[in-house]
Amino acid sequence: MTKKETIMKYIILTFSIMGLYTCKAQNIVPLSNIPEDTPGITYYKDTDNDFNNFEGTWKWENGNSSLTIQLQKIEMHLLGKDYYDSIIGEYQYIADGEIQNNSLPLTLNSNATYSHNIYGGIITPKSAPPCNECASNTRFVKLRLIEPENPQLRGAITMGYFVENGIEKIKVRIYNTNDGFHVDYTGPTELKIPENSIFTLVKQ
Amino acid sequence: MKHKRIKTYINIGILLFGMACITISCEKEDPEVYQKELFNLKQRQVNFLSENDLPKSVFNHFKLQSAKLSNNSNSKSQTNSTIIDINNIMQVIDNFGNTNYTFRVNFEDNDPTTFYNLIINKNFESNTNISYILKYKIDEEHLQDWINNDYDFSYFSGYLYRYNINDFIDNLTFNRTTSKNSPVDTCPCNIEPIDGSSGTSGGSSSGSGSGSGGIGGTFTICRNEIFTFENPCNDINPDDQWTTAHGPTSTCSGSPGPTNIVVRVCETVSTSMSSVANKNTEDDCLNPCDNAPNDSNGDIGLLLPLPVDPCKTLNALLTHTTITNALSTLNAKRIQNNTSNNPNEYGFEVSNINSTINTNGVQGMHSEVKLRHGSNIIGGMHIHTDNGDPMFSAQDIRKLYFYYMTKDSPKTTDEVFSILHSDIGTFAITINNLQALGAFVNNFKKLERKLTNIYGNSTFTNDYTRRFLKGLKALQEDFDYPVGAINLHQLNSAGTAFEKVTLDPTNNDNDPIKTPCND
Repeated sequence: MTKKETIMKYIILTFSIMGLYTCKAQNIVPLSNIPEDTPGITYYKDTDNDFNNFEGTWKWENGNSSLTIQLQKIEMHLLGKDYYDSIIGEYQYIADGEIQNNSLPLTLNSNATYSHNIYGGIITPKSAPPCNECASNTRFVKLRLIEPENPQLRGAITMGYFVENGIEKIKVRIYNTNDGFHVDYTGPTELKIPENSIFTLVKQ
Repeated sequence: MKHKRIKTYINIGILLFGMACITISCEKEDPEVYQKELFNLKQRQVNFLSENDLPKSVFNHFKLQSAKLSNNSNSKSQTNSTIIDINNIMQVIDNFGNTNYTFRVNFEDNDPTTFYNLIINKNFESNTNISYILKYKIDEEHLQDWINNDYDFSYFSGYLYRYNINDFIDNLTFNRTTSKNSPVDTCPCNIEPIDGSSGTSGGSSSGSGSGSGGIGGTFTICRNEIFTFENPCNDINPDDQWTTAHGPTSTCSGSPGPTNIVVRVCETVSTSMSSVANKNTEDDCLNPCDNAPNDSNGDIGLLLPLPVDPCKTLNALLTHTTITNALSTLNAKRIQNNTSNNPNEYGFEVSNINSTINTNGVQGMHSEVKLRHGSNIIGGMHIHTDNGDPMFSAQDIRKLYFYYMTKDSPKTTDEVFSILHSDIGTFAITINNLQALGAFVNNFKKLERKLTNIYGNSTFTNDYTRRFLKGLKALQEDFDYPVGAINLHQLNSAGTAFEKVTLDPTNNDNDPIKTPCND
């Protein structure tokens, strides 16, 4: 065996061991059924593709008021030591003809997933919007929502997907989740979208 | 060639021999001094003793002095407001054989900026015992840094006061102060500024101390530090490595992974010599400096204040009717919410104004209640509705951090809290390690995602305590912190006391276990 062959042998062996280690280290966990213990590096994966239904542009309209949301699924992004599948998004809210918030259009910032004004990806029935149209086995998705002009203001959006007369729709509940401010704070304290609003948005 | 080399070696040898002779002859110019230094210079010793380990003369002297501070000394020597720790006495024998015994003296004076040590000095030459009180007063603006840095004395900036013990205690004989919470006579014999950042020197000691009634000199400070050893049992000679770090009686336990070891680290702080403080001629002191000990010598041990158990602080809160009334209101709101179609959160801001605990009720919304932080607010109490989870959220944890960081000085980590009342009980969180909590808050999105994931898929409604603790443990491991960021407590079923809740390390399932607070 020549010296060159020996070096190649070691390089291949090293990469093989690294590959094996990587495979072994990553523990894939379905986001819809997370166990209590998730030792090591974990990949929280949207194994059932629940997030896929929500991708796209959605709009609610009522007179001069409207809510437009753009959502996109991203896969396997790093957060701390773990990996996650998530949904990111931006939105525009118009009340009585006046633009209250507008962070559209959605432009993926892969270096700062959590810099978007909508982000997250929890599959949970908690705080789900009332949704008679939704199937009984609907799995609701909860995301974080930030006020674009006042990022210290935070809320949540929970969403259920359904199809009505062949049209894709989502039922959403939006509510504040602020935990209070400094005693000297004098700015706004609530999202411009009214507290605990329920909307039905249609896919565009 | 060979002869030339031998010649060179002989020349060098002669030169070295000559230099050695000159050196030895110079040292012999003052043989008495040289021998005296050799005789007197011993390695400084730092020992930790209990009361029974004290030499008889020191023990008798301590009993005499402690009688002035207390009426009994079973496990602790205490009066209503004074506790002398007799199970952890620091003995420092300096290079010259001078011995000082340091006793931690705790006054429940609600002043986090001060702590006290009783010193008994055993004079090497006269074999007599002298005792006095040292009061350490840290500047308020440096208190937070000092605590955050694990009481590292290089972060201490303040003053050291020395008191004659007879004039120190506010007892029946020496009732010179008006406040029962402030037992200190207003007339210290000495006041010494300390700037730890410029006075620290690692491990060495001059051994001189102060011989003129001042309190300058050297101070020996010991504290526990946590060191992580990657794998102490897998090295070539693991026992040596383990023993060195963990003490001679420990053995290698066969740990396969990183091991955290608490190591006691001692350092020496030097302060400059002080002069006797000017006594105010208009005060009412009976000239305390007349009886001041002025001939004590040697290095002095320094015992830092024991961290207050936040569980104890929580239970102290329960003695305030404002808190118990607030708990009753939260329970009523929770019951009302369970029958409501549109339940909303509710909470109380809790403030401490001159030791008076006040609460301020705040109506919340669907999934929030805006409890403010800052100023004199020390914590908050709130309920979670069915819309949320019956355990603390990531925001609640962050809020705990804000309570501490934004509270007016003076402040300590044990005094801030967050109480949650939900369908599964009444819980509280307190700070265990501020740095670890800071790491949680700085990685808030990860904290939020981790906890929400853990809660979101739960089908075991009564298991949130375990889920919460496991989530925190996982985060702690993620952030590589050897200690936990926060403590979890639960109010007992009688509603009379908080207990600490931890994961049972002896149980494979890590079931939560409750431990009553230490009195």
